[in-house]
Amino acid sequence: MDNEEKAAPEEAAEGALGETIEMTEESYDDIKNEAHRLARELGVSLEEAARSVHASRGTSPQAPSRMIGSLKDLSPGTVNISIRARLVTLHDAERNEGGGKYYYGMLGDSTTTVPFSAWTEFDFNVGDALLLQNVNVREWKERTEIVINDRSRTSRTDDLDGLVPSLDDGVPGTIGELVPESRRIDIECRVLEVQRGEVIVKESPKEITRGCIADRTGRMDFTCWGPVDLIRDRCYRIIGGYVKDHRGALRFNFDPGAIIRELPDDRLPPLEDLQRPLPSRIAEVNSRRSFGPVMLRGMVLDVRGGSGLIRRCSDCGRRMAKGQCPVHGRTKGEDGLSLRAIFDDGSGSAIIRAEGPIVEHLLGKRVSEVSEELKESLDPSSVTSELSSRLNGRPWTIIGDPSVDEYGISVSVKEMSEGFDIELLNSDITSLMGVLI
Amino acid sequence: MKRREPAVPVLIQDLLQGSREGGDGADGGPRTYVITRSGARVYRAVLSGVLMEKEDIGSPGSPLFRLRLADPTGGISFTVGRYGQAQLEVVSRLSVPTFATIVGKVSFFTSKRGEEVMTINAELIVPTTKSVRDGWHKLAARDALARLWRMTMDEPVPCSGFEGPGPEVPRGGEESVEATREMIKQCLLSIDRPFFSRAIDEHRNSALDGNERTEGASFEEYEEQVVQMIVSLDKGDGARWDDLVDHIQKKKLSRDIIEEVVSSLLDKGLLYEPILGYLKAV
Ligand SMILES: [Zn+2]
Repeated sequence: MDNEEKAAPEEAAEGALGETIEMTEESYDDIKNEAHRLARELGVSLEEAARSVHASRGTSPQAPSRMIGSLKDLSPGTVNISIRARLVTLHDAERNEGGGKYYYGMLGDSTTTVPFSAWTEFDFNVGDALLLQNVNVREWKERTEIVINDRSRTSRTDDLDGLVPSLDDGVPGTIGELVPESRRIDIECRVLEVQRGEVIVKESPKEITRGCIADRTGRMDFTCWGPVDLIRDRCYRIIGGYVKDHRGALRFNFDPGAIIRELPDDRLPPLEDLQRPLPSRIAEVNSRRSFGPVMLRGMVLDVRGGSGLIRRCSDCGRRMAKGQCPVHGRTKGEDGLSLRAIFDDGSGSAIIRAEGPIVEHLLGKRVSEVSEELKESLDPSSVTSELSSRLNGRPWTIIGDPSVDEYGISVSVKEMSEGFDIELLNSDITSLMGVLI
Repeated sequence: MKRREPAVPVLIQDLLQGSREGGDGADGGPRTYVITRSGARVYRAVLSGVLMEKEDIGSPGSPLFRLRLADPTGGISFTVGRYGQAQLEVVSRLSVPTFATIVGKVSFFTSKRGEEVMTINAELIVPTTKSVRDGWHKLAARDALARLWRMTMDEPVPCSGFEGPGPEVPRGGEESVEATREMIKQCLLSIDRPFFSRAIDEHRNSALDGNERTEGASFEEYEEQVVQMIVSLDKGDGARWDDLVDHIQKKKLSRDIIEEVVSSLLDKGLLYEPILGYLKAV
């Protein structure tokens, strides 16, 4: 949010409230207590008692403040309203011409979030559930904004109904634990990617925020159904929203009413670490459909048909069958190398797919050399058996993007290297040794 | 969705001492599994070791080989015949002994004496190297340790990759847990005795102390200690091995590592055995 240009609300708007004497916090509590006492003693309504106390002190009672049910019902231009909301973000800035500080940020409930500015002392913390009384609503930069001034009263409230849950309630979970249909998400994450976008909802454009978040346990795409101030490479705790299965990958959906609190940078591993492929087991990939590249350690069991020298469409690179591209029909085509194999890590198995340079590297020759050899031998299966003897039954570490469909898990391989991580095995064994004693 | 049963790396003894159980396969169909003594559920196994025996028991037109694969914990015999054409080609070319990795389905047959014998229907036989074989053994040992950990400890497994469903409960209770411990120890020591005996020893010492020692004694420190012990126990003819063992037990040191240290000192010529059962420092 740009705070530099923020203008203080116009005085005229507040003059309309017509208060004559500024009330301090003490005098207000004083009056309230006096009114309660009077109401009890005289058996009258609190309202009547308050009038009487105000009259006896020469103060004017505050005009009754209209309670608005939820933030989405606010409309600019209304004054003197009351509303409950959760303090979602809080910043401060200097007023123009040395007029002191003001505060701004976001307020949220289960319906939406709304920016606010406070032109008075504002001693609250992010996550506090607040009752805001005698506040005004204006339009500021084409958005509805709540204005808190020195005639407003802001206090913490215990009435949390309809508010998003507090940051102090509960312990944040991890991305790895999320499953389809998880609700009331509460996670700490780092933003790997974020971008604003627009979707058409009911024929009108709606601004949304999309991106990818990660923690130590996993990565997930998210969509926020509105604009939010998330910044790439910063850490946040996000409370609210739900998880949906989106074409085999999980996606975290929330709206701007979710609580979003920025966390210290050291709360999560650095961006580079989180972008690294996650060491995973195939069974895990299958059950939680974790998003993003994974690292799998296992064995190639079987190089399958479709491996070896293939023809690709020269227009789109798709694999051709009988000289035909599935999209472009009969095209010229060019030679390519491909690998399809069963990979097993002891927890499950997956089909791995690799193309081009990775396969060239495994074979130790370029596609042009393979083409030349085949022109002489005329035996395309020789490439497959070469791949089989190079790969089968050996330990491999692969890095790639997994996807899950009705045929199981397949991994599009980006890197492939042979051998065990002996250091990892030694350190695992050492840390497990307690069980041997 | 058609699903393959995973190939589980195991040590041979773990498999042989397992129990045969029926259950549902990954694709929902009935399956015969072995629940190994360390709690692995195995339909298809990865075994690595040395092919020790290769016997041509076939006849013209019906090739058949009997083979035996051994690892530090045990050995298993299996046959390769005309139904495994690819395996047959590999087997006919190799000469024993040779390092090899085998993947196959576990199966059973009844011997002439009426005993049920476990064997393996090899789907893959791959000649390998010592270091790759050791890698498979470390992997199998690590996974067995993790299963034991999940069976016997209250704390979560201290390394990642073991968050999935827990191990099966093997038959045999505490006795089989103890046997599994011994098997893993045996396997690790056969791969790298100095490294793993020291690691085991450090854990034992920290368990005895009741607190974690940050630094275990180095091998050289042990060598010095042992030489001093032998000198102090030497009444002229050398130190008696039995006295040394008593001394070791009083000092709560590990016998495994002391044996290792002694053999290293003997190799270096810093100790010698004047009479069998006696040790003397040079
Ligand atoms: Zn095409």
